[in-house]
Amino acid sequence: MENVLVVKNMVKTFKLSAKQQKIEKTNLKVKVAVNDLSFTVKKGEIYGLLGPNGAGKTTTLRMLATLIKPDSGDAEILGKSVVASPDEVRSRIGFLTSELKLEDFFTPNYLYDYFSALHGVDKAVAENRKRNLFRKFGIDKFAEVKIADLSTGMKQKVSLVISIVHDPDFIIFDEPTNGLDVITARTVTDFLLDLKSQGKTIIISTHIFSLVEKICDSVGIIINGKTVLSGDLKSVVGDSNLEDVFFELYKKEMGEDE
Amino acid sequence: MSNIFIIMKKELKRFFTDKRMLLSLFLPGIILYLVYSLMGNALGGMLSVGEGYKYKIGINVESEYYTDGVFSVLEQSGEIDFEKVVEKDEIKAMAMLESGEVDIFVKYKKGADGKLDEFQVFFNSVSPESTTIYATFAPMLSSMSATPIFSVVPTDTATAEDSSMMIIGMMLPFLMVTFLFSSCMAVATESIAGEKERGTIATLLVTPVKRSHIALGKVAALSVTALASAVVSFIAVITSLPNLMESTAGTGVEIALDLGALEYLSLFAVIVLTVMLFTVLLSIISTIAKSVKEASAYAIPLMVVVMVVGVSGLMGIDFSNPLFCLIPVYNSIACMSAVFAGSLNPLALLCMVVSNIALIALGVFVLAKLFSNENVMFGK
Ligand SMILES: Nc1ncnc2c1ncn2[C@@H]1O[C@H](COP(=O)(O)OP(=O)(O)OP(=O)(O)O)[C@@H](O)[C@H]1O
Ligand SMILES: [Mg+2]
Repeated sequence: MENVLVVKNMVKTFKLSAKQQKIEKTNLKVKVAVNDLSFTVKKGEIYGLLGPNGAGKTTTLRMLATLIKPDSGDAEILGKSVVASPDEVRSRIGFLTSELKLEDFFTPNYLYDYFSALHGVDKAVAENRKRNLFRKFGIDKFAEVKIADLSTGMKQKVSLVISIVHDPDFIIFDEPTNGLDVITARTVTDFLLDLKSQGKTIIISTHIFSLVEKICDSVGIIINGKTVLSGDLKSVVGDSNLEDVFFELYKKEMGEDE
Repeated sequence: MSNIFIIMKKELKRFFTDKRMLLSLFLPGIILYLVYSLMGNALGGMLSVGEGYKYKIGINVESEYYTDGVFSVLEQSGEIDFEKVVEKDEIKAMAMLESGEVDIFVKYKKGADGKLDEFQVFFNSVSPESTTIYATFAPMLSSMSATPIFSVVPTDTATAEDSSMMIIGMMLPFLMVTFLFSSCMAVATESIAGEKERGTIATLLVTPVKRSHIALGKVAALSVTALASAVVSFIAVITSLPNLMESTAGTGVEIALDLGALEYLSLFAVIVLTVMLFTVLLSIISTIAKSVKEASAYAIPLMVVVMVVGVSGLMGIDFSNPLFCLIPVYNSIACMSAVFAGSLNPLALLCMVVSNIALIALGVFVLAKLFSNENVMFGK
């Protein structure tokens, strides 16, 4: 199968201010968030980036979404470099995270049209897509309610729909089920499977083993900014289970560090 | 290009359909109108002359051929009721004028060859009685001075503090700049620092729209909004000003309110460019700041600079060297004052336009750079 995402030796460091050094309890002036990370994602699969808090998952996904630039290394999404052609990458991907907020003042209907226009989607096509997506997520009843007045779950659904107004072939989703109740979480995971069935490629980040086991085809385990293991879920897990595999690797990785 | 308009449209919708936003944008203008109008009416009431008032006209000679002539003309016209007060001592006469014992003082001077050569007229601009009689009496004297032996030298005995109206007149450009700054500040901090704080700008940054287009769309929308609010304040000042001025007619306040098309155009250019400059500067500040609060705090030093430059523009407006009009803010105030005084130098206007356009262009460039800087947009 063709690789639609190739991550090559990506490194990302952050300069720490005195205040941050205190919070992180370190004397180091720089924090290596992503440390020479490489992995590949095949077309049409759901890839799960699994790691503990602070492993560098969000940082990696932000680099893929071209919001921040790697210090060195690169990644190619659908053949486009995130370093060399960020605008083109952005027009081909959908990026979702709970950090991306919608303006409280506007309605889902208005924001959908606004982002469609910014993505240059044809009006008729956008209208059609909007109708389908709004119906699928039950947003149609709330289409004219201000974002401020929507429930957390409904906000999340609207965010999700708006991030795919341009029908991207590659979707990046940071912590898809974080902070959602079981019903909304289920809607989201069902939707990811639905997108996969449409031939889209998806990369998610999570620290929830069961989510990976349920929906992912491949998994990359990331600890301290490095991929310690990446591959087909079945071959990674083998006869064991994901949690055991993870802790095995985690112990080894932390032991090496000390 | 079209993305700039899409962003601009959304920003404008945000500002012009939000009641709270509208209130904060347009309330200052409305309050200003009310205050100025009330002040004008109050002053107007204070400064009017009572019905049937008997004017006291002071003069330094008992009876002379020419002065008797003047008084008989005044009497015959029947326009006003007056009495003649003779006071030979000029210093005493001035004291009387200030205390209101006389409303006007006419100093008659005989020429060396025995011919009458001068009338000097003193009045007090803070006294409505004095200004009213001056307005009636002075033209009469000047019409009589058609013969070359007459000359009328009006002298105002009012002290500088008395001419508070004059200061209000001079304050107008300064007030205008202050309004422009505060409306720009309200919208820029809300639209940029506010969006950063709430995490909504990141949603915009994951779209393929160019950073420079986002910056331009925002600046354009912010300028239009700030301009609308400033125009409301300005109209408030202009419409309430006649009230204020009427009550102080003849006090020497020189504001040409009947401006011509060219003056209006110049005024418009000054206002638009000032608004855009403030918008760009405050947008840069709001982009660097992480929250509205931080942005407002960062804007204070800028506000102080604007005020200081503004006041210095107010104090020593020097039109002699138009190159001074290369200094931002100072040039706005200087050009506005010049327009009101009807003495705008085209070179000064040109310097103002060139300097502001250059600064705005530079500012937009910096802003676009900041929008593509990840530490600025996503730094913790
Ligand atoms: N802008 C920044 N400045 C300084 N340090 C940062 C910055 N962004 C991330 N970091 C640090 O980089 C490391 C990796 O962060 P990241 O958010 O990528 O982890 P994560 O795997 O997403 O964790 P979580 O599961 O908690 O979301 C953390 O130690 C974090 O504190
Ligand atoms: Mg994270």
